[in-house]
Amino acid sequence: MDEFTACTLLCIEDGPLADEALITEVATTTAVPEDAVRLALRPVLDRLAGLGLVETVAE
Amino acid sequence: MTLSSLDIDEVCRRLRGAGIAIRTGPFTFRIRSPIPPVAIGFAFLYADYPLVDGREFIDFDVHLAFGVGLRRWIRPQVRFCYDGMSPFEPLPVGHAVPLLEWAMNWCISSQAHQYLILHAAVIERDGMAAILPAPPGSGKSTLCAGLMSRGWRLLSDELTLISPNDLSITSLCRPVSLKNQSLSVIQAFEPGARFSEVTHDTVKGAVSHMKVPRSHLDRIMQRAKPAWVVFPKYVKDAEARLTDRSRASSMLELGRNAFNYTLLGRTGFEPLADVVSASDCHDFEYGRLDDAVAVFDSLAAARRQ
Repeated sequence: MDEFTACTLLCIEDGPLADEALITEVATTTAVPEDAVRLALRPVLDRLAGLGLVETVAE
Repeated sequence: MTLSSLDIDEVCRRLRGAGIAIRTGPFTFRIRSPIPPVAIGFAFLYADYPLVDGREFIDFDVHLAFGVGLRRWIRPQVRFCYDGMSPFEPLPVGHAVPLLEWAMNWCISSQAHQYLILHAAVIERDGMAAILPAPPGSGKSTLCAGLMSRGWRLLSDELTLISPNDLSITSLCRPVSLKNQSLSVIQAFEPGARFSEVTHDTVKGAVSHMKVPRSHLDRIMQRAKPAWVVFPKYVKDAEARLTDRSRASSMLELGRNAFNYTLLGRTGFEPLADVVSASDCHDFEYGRLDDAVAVFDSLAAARRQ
């Protein structure tokens, strides 16, 4: 599953999320360090924030 | 040549044998069944659909067979067979006509992944489409049937097919499934509407299908662009009330109602985001079809200005 679908499905399941909550959930699920997830998901999170699906908290 | 060019005896004979192939929108179906009520229902509901000759590719081969063993004779059953599979549990043979419709829907929703497929009715006015996603029992098909009786064109009452590359919505234009009280509501609202025989005691209650008027079928190849996403809810005797809904919440709900969002991945994400961005999104509560039609007509009028 690609990162756009995965993140949207988390939002569908839990409702709109803060980006940090989403990063934590992905990091926990995939056992990847949060910093790496944050870096990898940055473009995805920006796009989802533009659509109003996530709230931007992370710097 | 349409199915109506065959008399009912010929329809029965062909369905018992090699089957009859028809086109509905972008898809071709071959239907086979030895069950007489299937022939009667099929001949009635699909009379105006074009026949497909034997040289064309058939997308879906739908076979409704009698139950096996004792179920051929004792409390007889009908089985839906597709490519050697029986994806559904057998049903009482009296449910064969609605099963035909459910089977055709299943074929599309489980395999037509060239489209992003939403579980939603969709209707059109002036080239603009209103997508109506809602769970069963929310009045989606009733609203759809009411609107198509008052100048809106039916694209589908069940499956919204969105092309990922240009967001156009393809018409299926298949019979509209109506259940329980919806039947009498539409019969009273549109006395000219024609229905298949009512099947009682299905998992969805009493079910009948409304035949699609010829004028809608004549435009079946005309696509539409998404303009509205409206989440309808029927509330007895309620005043019609249209309220704005956020695009984010609408996108999540559409994703939840998509058959193949997960399968398509980013190919589904992008058109879903674009559909929501291009559409006005609303919740809509209604208790009377006349009021609902007036609200939808005002939406169309506002877009025209």
